[in-house]
This record gives sequence, C-alpha cells and structure tokens, in this order.
Amino acid sequence: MLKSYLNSIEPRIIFIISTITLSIIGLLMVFSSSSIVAMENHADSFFYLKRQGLFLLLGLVIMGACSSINTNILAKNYKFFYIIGIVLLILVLVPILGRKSGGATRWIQVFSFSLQPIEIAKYMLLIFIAQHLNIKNTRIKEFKIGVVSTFLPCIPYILLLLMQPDFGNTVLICVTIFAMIILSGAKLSHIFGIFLVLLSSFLSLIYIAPYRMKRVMSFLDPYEDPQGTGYQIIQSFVSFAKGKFFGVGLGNSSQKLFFLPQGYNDFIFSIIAEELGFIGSLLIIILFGLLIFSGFKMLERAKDLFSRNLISGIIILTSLQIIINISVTIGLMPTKGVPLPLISYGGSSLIFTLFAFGLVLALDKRKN
Amino acid sequence: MNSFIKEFKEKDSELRKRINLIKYCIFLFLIVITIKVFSLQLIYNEEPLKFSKIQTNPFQLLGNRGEIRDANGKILAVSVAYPSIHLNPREIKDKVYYAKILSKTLSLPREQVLKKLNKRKYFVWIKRLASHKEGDKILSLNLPGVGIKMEYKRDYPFGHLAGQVLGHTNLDQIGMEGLEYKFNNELAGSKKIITLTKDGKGKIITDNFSAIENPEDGSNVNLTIKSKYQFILEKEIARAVKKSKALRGYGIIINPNTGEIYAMGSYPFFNPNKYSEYEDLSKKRNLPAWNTFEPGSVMKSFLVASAIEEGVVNDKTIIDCEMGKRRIGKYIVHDVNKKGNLNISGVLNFSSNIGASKIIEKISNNKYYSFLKNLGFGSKTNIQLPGEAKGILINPEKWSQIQAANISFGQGMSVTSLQLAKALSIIANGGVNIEPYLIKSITNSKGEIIFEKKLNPGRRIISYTTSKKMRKLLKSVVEDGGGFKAQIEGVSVSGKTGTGQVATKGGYSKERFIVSFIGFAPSDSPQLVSVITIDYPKGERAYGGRWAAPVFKKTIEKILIDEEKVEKFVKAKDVPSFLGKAKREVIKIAKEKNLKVKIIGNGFVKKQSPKPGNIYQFQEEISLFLEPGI
Repeated sequence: MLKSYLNSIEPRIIFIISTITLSIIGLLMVFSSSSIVAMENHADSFFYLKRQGLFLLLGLVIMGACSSINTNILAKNYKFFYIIGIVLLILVLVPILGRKSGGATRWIQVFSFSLQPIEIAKYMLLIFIAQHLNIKNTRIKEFKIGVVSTFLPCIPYILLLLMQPDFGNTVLICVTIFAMIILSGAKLSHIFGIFLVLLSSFLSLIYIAPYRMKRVMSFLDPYEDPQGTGYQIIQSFVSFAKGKFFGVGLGNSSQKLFFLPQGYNDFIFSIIAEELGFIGSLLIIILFGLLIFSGFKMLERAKDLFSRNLISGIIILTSLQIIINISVTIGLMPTKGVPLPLISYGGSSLIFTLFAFGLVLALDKRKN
Repeated sequence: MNSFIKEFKEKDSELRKRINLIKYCIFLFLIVITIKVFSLQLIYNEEPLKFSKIQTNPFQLLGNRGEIRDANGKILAVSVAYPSIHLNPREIKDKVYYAKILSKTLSLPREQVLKKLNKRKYFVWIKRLASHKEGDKILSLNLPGVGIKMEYKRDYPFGHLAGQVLGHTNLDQIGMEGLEYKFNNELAGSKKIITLTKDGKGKIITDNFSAIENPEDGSNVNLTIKSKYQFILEKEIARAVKKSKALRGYGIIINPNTGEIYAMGSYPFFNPNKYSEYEDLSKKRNLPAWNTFEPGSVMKSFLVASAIEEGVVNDKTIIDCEMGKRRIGKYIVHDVNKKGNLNISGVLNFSSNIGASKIIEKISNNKYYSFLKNLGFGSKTNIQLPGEAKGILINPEKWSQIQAANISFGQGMSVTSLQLAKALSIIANGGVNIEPYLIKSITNSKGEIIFEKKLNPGRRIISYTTSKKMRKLLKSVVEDGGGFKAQIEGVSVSGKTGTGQVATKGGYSKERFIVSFIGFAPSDSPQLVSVITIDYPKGERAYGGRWAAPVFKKTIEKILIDEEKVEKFVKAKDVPSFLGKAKREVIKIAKEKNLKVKIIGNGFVKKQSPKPGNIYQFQEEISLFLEPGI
C-alpha cells in the first residue's frame, strides 16, 4: 500500500524534497558536531556552519541551474569532461597545490578554500562512461568493445587515485562502473569475469599494503586495540550506544568532544545516532531510501540510453557512498574516508552531489 | 522489423530485471544497516559504554599535606606546588621540533622525549615536579599540546637537618620513612573523589569547577626538636666522624626533666629532598633509636647508681682494683689504668673494670637486672619512630660470674643511644622516670589542637639523694677523670665515657670500637642530657674520652653560648608579615629590615615560618614558601 502510495507521487518531488530535507538536517548536524572543534581551531563556533551554509546555497543554485540544461551538451562533450577529471586529479599531485592530511594528499588548496578533486572527477568520469556505453551499446555483448573498452578509460583515474592514495573512492568508482556495465546489458559471463578480476586485484592491493591489512583487520575486531586501530570504531559504537532510542538531544553529544575524530565529516552519522537516537538514524536512512527509490523511478522511465546510463551511474554512486559511509560507522566495513552525501561537512562533496542531482533532474526531463 | 522490436523488448525486460536486482541489493543493504544500527543503539550497547567510562575519570582531589615544624614553629617539612609538565602526543604534529625544544628546555635526553611524543595517547607526563624556572619557560613558549599542572612536592627547607628523623615521602606524597611514615595518616590531606568529564584531548569540561569544595588539608605535626640544637649537634658529630675517620656517628640531646628531645642526629647525613639518590638504605636510619651497640664503660654510671641505691657502697667504700688484673674463672679482667685501692669516685674516674666487676658482685644479679629494666634498658622507649630497637638484656638467671662482670662494665648487653639518654635523664633529674618524646602537639588545618603531649609525674626510680650523689660523682669524672675533654668553661658538666667493644663472629673485634660519652649540664640542676656515639674511629686510643667527649663539650657549649646571645638580643623585633607579597617585594623588605630570608618557590608568599608577630630570634632565617598566583 505504501509502495502504491509512493508510486502515485511524482518521483521528482520525492527526490527534491528528500534532497533538501537531508541537506538541511546535514547543515544542522554539521553545526552541532563541529561547533566545539570550530571554537578550538578557529575561535568561532559557527565556522563550519557558515561555510557549509554557503556551500549549500551555492549547491542548490547549481542544482537548479543544472536541472534545466540541455543534456545533449554533456553527451557531445563527453571527452572534454573526461579530461577535466584527469587534470583535476593530476593537480592534486602537484606539490605546491596538493594539501597533505593524514598521510594522503586528497586536496587542492587555493587560498583559504580547498577542493577535493575526486568529488568532481567522479562525476566527470560518469558522464564519459555514460556516453561511451551509449555509443558502444550495439556491440555491448562483445567482450573487447563492451567491457574492456569501458574499463580502459577508468585506469588512469584509478592509478591517479591510488597515488593519493584514496582506496575508498577507487572501490567506489570501480563498483559503480561495474554496475553501469551490468545495466547496459553486458553478457553475464563477462560480468562474472570482471567481478573476479576486480575482486582479486583488490585483494592483492590489500595484501601489498600492510596498513590496509591492518585497517581491514581492525574493523573485524576493534576491541583488540581499543587505543589504536580500533579507536575510531569503538568511539563510534560509544556514540550509537549512548544515543539509545531517543538520543541524548541535539547538541548534547559527548563523543564530539574530540573523542570521535571527524565527527562532522566521515563519522557524522554516529553523532546523529547519539544526539537524535535510533529515531533519528532511522529517519536519515528512510530519507536516503526515498531518495534512492525516486532515483530509480526516474531511471526506469528514462527515455534514452545516455540518460539511463548517467542516472544509473549517479544513483548507484550515491547509494554506494551512503552504504559505505554508514557501514563504516557501524563497523560493517573498514574505515574508508567516504563522506555521507548531503550530510557530511565538505564543500566539494556537497556542491557536486547537488550538481549531479541537478543533472538527474535534467536527464529525467530530456525528451528523446 | 518484428524480430528487432521483439529483441529490443526482450533486451528491455532483461535490463529491467537487472535494474531491479541492483535496486533490491541496495535496499537490502539499507535494511541490513538499519538492523545493525538498531542493535548497536538498543541491544548490544553495554560493551562500548565501558570504553566511554574511561572518559569520565574519577579524579582525586587531595588536601595539602601538613607541615612538620620544630619546637619554635620553624618549618622542617612542607608541601610546595611545582609545575608538572604534560603533553598530548595526538595533538602534536611536528614531533621532531617538539623533541628538540622540550629536551632543551627541560634538560631531558632527546630520545626519551621523542619516545613519549610518539605514544598513541592523549596524556603523557613529560616531566613531573619540574623547577619553577622550567615551568615559566614552558609557559612562555606557549606550545599547543603542552600543558602544566601544579603538583605538590615535599620540601625540606633545611636539607639534611634531622633528615633521618623526618624521613621522606614518595612522589605521591605518601610517607615512606621516619616521621613522615609514622604520622602519614595525620599529615596526609583528606581525599575527595570527584567525577570529571574530560574531552578527547584531556581537557576538563566540568563548568562549575570552582564550586568544588577543596578537601581538608592535613594536620601539622609540631616537634620538640630545636633546629638550632639539631644544627649544632649534626655539625659537631660530622666534624668528629671526619676527624676520626669513623664509620658514622650519632647523638641525641634531651631535656632530662621533661623528656623532650631537642636534637637527634646521625652522620652520614640524609637529605630527604634527594631521597631517591640514596642507594645505601642505612643512611636513612635514625641511628640513635635504631642502632644497638654494646655501650661499654658508660654503664658504670648506672652500676654505681644501683649500688648506692641498694646501699651496698658509700663514700667510705674502698675497692681493691688489683693493679689492673683480676682473674675470674678462666678469664682475666684488665684495666687500662692500673690501680690498687680506689673509692667509688676513683672507680668511675679511672673507669676501672675490675672495680665495676666487684661492685656488681655486691648487688644481686636480679636486683641489678630489675634496676636496668626500670631505667628502660631492654625495652623500647615507645618514642613514636619507626624501627626503634630495644636492645638485649639477658635474664639474670643465666648470668655467670664473668657475664655479670662483663655487664658491670657494659659488655654482653646492647642498648640504643635513646635508652642511654633516658636512663641518664632519670639519674640526673632527681630520680623520676621520664618518657622521651618528639611530638609536642598535632594541630589540624583549622589550627585546632588534636593531640598534645601531656606530662605526667613520673614514677620514682631512684631516690633524690642517690641522684644528687650521682651528679657529683659524674661531675668528678669530667673534672678529674676520663671525661675531662667534656669540660666547659663556666658550666659544670657531669658525664661518663665509654669504649664499647664490637662483637664479631670470633669474639670481639680488636679494631672496631664504638665510643660514647653520656653527660648532662649543668651538674647541679641538669637542663640538657646528651649522648654522643662515634662508631669505629680509626687509629690508636679509640676511646670515648678522646672522640665523643669533645663533641659533647662543643655542642653543649655552643648551645649555651647561643642561648646567652639570644638573651642579650632582647630588643627583639617582631617578625614582619610577608604573606601575599611578591618575590621582588620580599627581597626589598628583607634588605630594609636586615632580615635573613630563605625563599622557596616562585610567585607569591603563601606560608612563612616563623609566623608574623613571632619574636625574631637572633640571626634567624625566615623561610618563605612561594606559589604562583592565579
């Protein structure tokens, strides 16, 4: 009954409402979880709130603007977008521009603003792959043309990401592209083959770099080293446990008092769980569910292949980010560094997620 | 055409299946996540909360430890706040730079600092109880991640003065030795446990911190010790030990009428400020109460007292000292001064062993034993010090003739200096029992007296006549006999020397002697009793008369001269108040008023000793304890 009721509502409305609701909750939680850190680091408890508010406004404007563009421009210039992504990822590795943080260089620093290129580049790659699959559609069942030629352009991205290193986004991109190939009709045997290749290459990556191994092990049993590798996960668990059903109340989290590093970023879901309780966690998950649900509705009714490909790419990428981020906070996956879309603090992520959602709305409007 | 459409439709339905598959996968994941979130928040939420408790630390507030003061209120032990420097390694990024700066400022090895910086902790002590100078430097460097916590440290302003009596505390201000140990419960401030919430960086986030009431400070222990006497005694003992190249020396000064211990010293010294630097634990021992030895001829004083008390000798008694050789069974008793007939005074003056051996034969063993027992030999004096020894006094049933002879001149039994001082006090004070004591009173932090030594009239041990006779006899020993080096110009002195043999495995050592002098002054109305012991002086003529008597003389002489000087200095000034004044101001006032001050700590004066309004003693040093202001 619920489903038929939801089916009766225009998916664009569900999509827009859940997006705006989530980003406003995000803004609130960024403020709540960052005010103390902001006071400590910037002597202004509104520091992160102000910036995030600005990003949100900018993002919503971009989303509105994108929702009415002619998406043919995207399809036509798909190679250009591909190159923009590559250039951005190369810029990170330029020593004067790149900003190191926690052993990895993932940021470009321009004056006081910093940019996380992968947040933009991943959508650039999606646009490219969407059009690429569109062009190769008729020969999608051939292994070389359909599968290999789709994966090849991803390799420079992957290599550049691994140089940062950014293991989390590498996985994210690979899995998204993989899903896009599945949805564009590749043969099951080919898909299974790629799956094995991807799996084995990730396993070997983990095997080569022992610190990844350590991270992977730590999420399996965080209590083994509660002060070391298991620290973040346990502190996240503490947040969840403290939240119980109704939460400790907005602004009352004690875990954000530097116990949970990145409480306004990667671990913001834990702070939500602590302050708003299971009710709050459930509300966030339901809102994301509605977002994904309406996204799929638009995917299913897409009129052309390019739209279908790009919508599926964006929706799957967003879904994966949500799943990975929350799974990390609840100890189902190793710590990754993937932000929670619309909620986590960060201009690059927020603005370009909204940019991509704008594209989804534009593609949905596109008449064949 | 038809087939193409058909194929397209087939393909389309295939793709719809795939879309649904992925969609369901995603929603399945979301459901799994919801279940896990549910279980984390509402079902398995106890284990993680244990880790959360670490963050609300029970924090112990400790009242300040009380002071130990001398008889004039001068502070001998006090707790002063020092800066302890800690850091948060997780907050510090440039560890090499920090290691460089911190090792230089705090003069610590760089590797050690770096090791601490690399710990994956939020709180690490880098240097506890650093100097105020170091604390100020750290403060001025203003390094993020480095903090200062004021911690109290025990300070002994006079260094080794009465070090073995005072003992010391450990880093946590718990008494480990001496009075600090014995009176730990009284001195220690009360504890109060409060729960403090700290943030992840270790910062306390309790907002009503000032509202927390401080726990009560510990009580102050007031001693009978007079610093001046203690200082003179220690100085003279040290001088004698060095001059005689002895192993060690110790002494005690006591008021024979009350039992107040004015001074109690041991050399080599023990400076409780540096307690951790002493490997040889025996240096921490308060030897006058702890060490037992065979006292030798000093015991003849008690023998004669007993004989007079029993009426077995009088002024007319003549004893044949057999020209220095007496055979008892298969043993021969020797005298250094070979004499024939001697009266009692002569036996003491020439310290005749043969004379003593004949006197003990006149008293019954049982009677002499119970006499010694009454004087306090063979049992503890119950002075409140840890590790007091009781010595050895064998049951009289077991005394053979030669053993009795030995006991008559102080061999075959062992005593402590404290016991000698007590026994001599009874002989000197007119014959009544006294209890030596160190603790005059204990006052709590509010100034209320919670303990005060009450003097009870002592039990009579010997008659007043005997006491008077003994004063005279022992005065003669100093004036005409073996104790002549104890003579003080203008003051009559009574006393007795002793040279105790030291028992080793195969009999008595031919080299090692423990030499003593026991005495009192003035002879007619004794005010001070002192027992001086020098252990193992080197070289020929290792006699009590040679080494111990001069220590007695110089010590008592200086004390009495000093007292006189003070009396002359009657135009006494009042001690001004320095409380709350800054260091610079203190120095200025001291200069203006020509006062000697000793400044301990930094900042503002929190305590002073002697207290304002007290009479300023001649050349007295005023101790000022400073603490950084807020």
